[in-house]
Amino acid sequence: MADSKTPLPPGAERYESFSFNVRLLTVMGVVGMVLLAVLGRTFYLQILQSSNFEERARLQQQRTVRLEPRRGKILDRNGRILAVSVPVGSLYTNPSQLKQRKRVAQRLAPILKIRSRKLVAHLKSKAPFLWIKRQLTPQEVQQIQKLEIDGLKFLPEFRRYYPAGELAGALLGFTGVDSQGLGGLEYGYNRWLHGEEVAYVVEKEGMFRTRPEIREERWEFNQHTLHLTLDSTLQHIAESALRKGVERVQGKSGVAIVLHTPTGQILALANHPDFDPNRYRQYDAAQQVNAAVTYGYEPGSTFKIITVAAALNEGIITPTQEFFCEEGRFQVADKVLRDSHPHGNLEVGQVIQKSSNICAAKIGMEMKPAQFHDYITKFGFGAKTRAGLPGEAAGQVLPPEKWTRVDHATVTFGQGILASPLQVVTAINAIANEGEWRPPYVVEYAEDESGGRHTEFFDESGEVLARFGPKAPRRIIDTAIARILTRFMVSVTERGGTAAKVAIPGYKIAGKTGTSQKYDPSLGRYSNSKFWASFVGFAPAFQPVFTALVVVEEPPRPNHYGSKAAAPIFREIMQRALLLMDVAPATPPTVVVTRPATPEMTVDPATFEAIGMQDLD
Amino acid sequence: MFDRRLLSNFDWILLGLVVVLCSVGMLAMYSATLGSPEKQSYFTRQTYWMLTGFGVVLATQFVHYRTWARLGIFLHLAVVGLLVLVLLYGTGGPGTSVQRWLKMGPIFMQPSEFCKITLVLTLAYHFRDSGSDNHRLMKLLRMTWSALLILVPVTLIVRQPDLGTALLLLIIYFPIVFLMGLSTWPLLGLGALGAVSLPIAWLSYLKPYQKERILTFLNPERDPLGAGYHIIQSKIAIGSGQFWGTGLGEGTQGQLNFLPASHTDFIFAVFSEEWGFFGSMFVLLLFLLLTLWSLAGIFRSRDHVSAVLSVGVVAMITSHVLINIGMTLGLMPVVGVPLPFFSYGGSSTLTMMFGVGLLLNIRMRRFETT
Repeated sequence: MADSKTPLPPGAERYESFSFNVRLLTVMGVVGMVLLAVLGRTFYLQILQSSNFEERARLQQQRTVRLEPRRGKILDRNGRILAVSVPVGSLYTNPSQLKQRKRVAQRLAPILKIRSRKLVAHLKSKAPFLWIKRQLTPQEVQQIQKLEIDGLKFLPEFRRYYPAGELAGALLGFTGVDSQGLGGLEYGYNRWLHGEEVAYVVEKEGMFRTRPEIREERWEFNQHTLHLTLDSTLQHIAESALRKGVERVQGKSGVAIVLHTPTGQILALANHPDFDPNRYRQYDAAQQVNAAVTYGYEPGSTFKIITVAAALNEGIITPTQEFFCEEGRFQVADKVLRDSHPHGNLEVGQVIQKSSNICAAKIGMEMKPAQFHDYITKFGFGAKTRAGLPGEAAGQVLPPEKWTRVDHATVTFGQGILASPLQVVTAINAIANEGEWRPPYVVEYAEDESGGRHTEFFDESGEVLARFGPKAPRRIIDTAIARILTRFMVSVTERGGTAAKVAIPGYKIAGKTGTSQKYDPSLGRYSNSKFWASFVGFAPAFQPVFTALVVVEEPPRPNHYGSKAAAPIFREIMQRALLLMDVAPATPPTVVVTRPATPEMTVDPATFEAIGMQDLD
Repeated sequence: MFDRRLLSNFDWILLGLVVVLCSVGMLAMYSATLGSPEKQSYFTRQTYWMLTGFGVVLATQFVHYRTWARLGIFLHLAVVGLLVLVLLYGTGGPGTSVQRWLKMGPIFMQPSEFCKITLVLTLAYHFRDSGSDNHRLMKLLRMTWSALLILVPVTLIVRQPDLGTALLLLIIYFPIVFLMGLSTWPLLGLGALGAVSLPIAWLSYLKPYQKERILTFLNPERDPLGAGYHIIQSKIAIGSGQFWGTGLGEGTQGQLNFLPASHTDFIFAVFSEEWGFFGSMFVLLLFLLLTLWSLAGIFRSRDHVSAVLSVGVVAMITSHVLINIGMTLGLMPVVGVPLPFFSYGGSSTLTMMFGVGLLLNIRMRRFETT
């Protein structure tokens, strides 16, 4: 209201003063209310909506640059390094802060081995954070630091290095530049090698991009070192023998696996052609694959051991029982089975020794399909071995209710069934272990940063994530039966056997050849020119230390037999393995079952006519 | 002329409020220029402008406010002359089609800034004896004449074009004529005229970039990296300040150059991010206090000159505050209006400080009996 003490301006009337004050109050009220409304708005933005805006600020200000962390090592059984992360520097810059980009590019180009024109174009980027080149060697880093160019900065990273180069390349796999395991063990055990937390750097940038800086570095790891069962020396032996052997017969590819018989440990796992994970980009995808576990092949005659083992164990046949081999020609339903050499009567052991398809079929067909199939499953076919190798194939076994008589007959000698090399060697290892099937494995244990050894990992809900080391074996045939089969297999490498040349002086070698036709999808039938040649066995036969398998893909005639393409490789690996591990020569045990060996027969490939399927041993 | 009694009547509270506001403003300027080296000179330069500003405050005191008002019409005419020169020789910086600055040696001057205060001065002189207008016709004549005093510079400024400043002049003008007894009907009539002229202006007069600003104001997300960028970034900055703020120099929006014009138009967002709702409230309450304290002084005003000067200066300061902060909060379209005592700028700082000087001048001489 009007203040009566205030002297009125000259000429002003009383009522006007009243009006004046009302108007002034109105102005004050309006201004006050608008200011309070603005205050309300700040309250709304800063208190009620703040989390929303904070999130938006964080989203636009932060960029995460992932750095390659230090992955856990991969060591062989003797602690030799197969894979390791070495510290390197990664060069980055904020291009807007670089002066004389062209000159910088010219000076950097020879060190980085990038063409300077390409580098100039790269440096024209408007991004506030730009990798120039990642994973430089310490020498390269030093050279660049000597140039003293402002604006070039390094971040510490790690680079995966495989000191042994191609050694076990397919088994180990490789990692990409973002530290993810992309193949092999690097992929399969990425979780443990990489650690659970990602290393990251928070880098912030503004709209006008003048001052991005690395603000925060976080390195949190829980990575493990993998201790493998692999033996680098043996691996090297296997690889060089395989390479030499496959190249000698001009095969397309090859696989060699060596197991430690009593434990099922994978001592060597060779693929040919192999690849060097240090330079994984130079190989195509097919070469990066670990064929020893990821591909199925038809095991051929090596499978006869399974057939005979099943029939003996079921008591359907006796070890000395004779079978008539039909003089090399036997009709089953609409198919004619043939042997590589015509045989008359053969004892069971000779069926293995001479590798008669007809008699193997006769033995197998003594069993009911389900009965036989049961043993095939027990020997581990049709299911992954769970050896801890990623990408493992389960193989293919036709269910018994679908078997035709022909199927039943051909499975007995390993055609019409797909198995991975690892499955086959593991199955034969059960014979070597006197009838006990042992799960193969490649990782002994994982070692954490404080040195603790772990063989089991569980997720939150208690599910098993990984289990390393040996697992419980299971008995599949009687000890006595396994010993009888071992003797049969020894006869294969003795005079009169299909692989007499495999014999190593002073040692008894149990083995079995296998030659199977490849199914040619383009022809819709089995090929006459493409084969799988294989040899599987263990030594010393009666106190076995090593069980090994060699498979050669498509060795051209006349070396397409298991005995010609695969057996020599097996022999070389086994001989050197026995020497390496200092295995004492065993005294030859008395052979009870087999008859005196018949002279070795030569094979004339021309006598085999394709009937759609045949065994050529 | 300048005796001890005046000093004893000096309004230390008002001066204190302004000093606190300027200090907080310099703090915000520190944050706004911290992020980029090329901006750091603005802090030093603004310090000099502030010191000059306080020199202006002091200098203003030696001349009676009525004398200032009497000088007002000449100053106003001078400014109008400068505005004409701006249209003829002015510049708006490279790549712009606007003409707002006059280059005088090394200094760029923005006459439209000074127009705000000369308008207040000349209106104060114009209404000095309006209390003796006994006839309605005389009142009408005085109002019409006052409208002429504003319409000439407004027209010139609209031609630059600088709608923000033109709008500000009108906002300063209305409280003055309202206080001076403008009747309700003309007031409503002017309001209606404004409402009608809006769509006409939209269709015929507004430049595309001006339309863009208004559309963007209505929905900033329609162009988040273009026209809406300022508003969005400003809101993100303010919003992420939360209650206590991120701390001095820790405002990531401001420091990382997400905020455009962080040392000028969007300085409140920088401050608000670093000092949170607490800081925003503090600043807004300071401005509220300044406004109410100055307006309350008018109750005891002895003449129309002091009343018009006070309400005019307060309207000038407060309208800048409301438009600038309203803009940073997304309540208003983006217009280039500086925040008094905060934003960088010589013309604006000196104008505001001159206004403060006038307010202090009036308060100091409130018991004088001449």
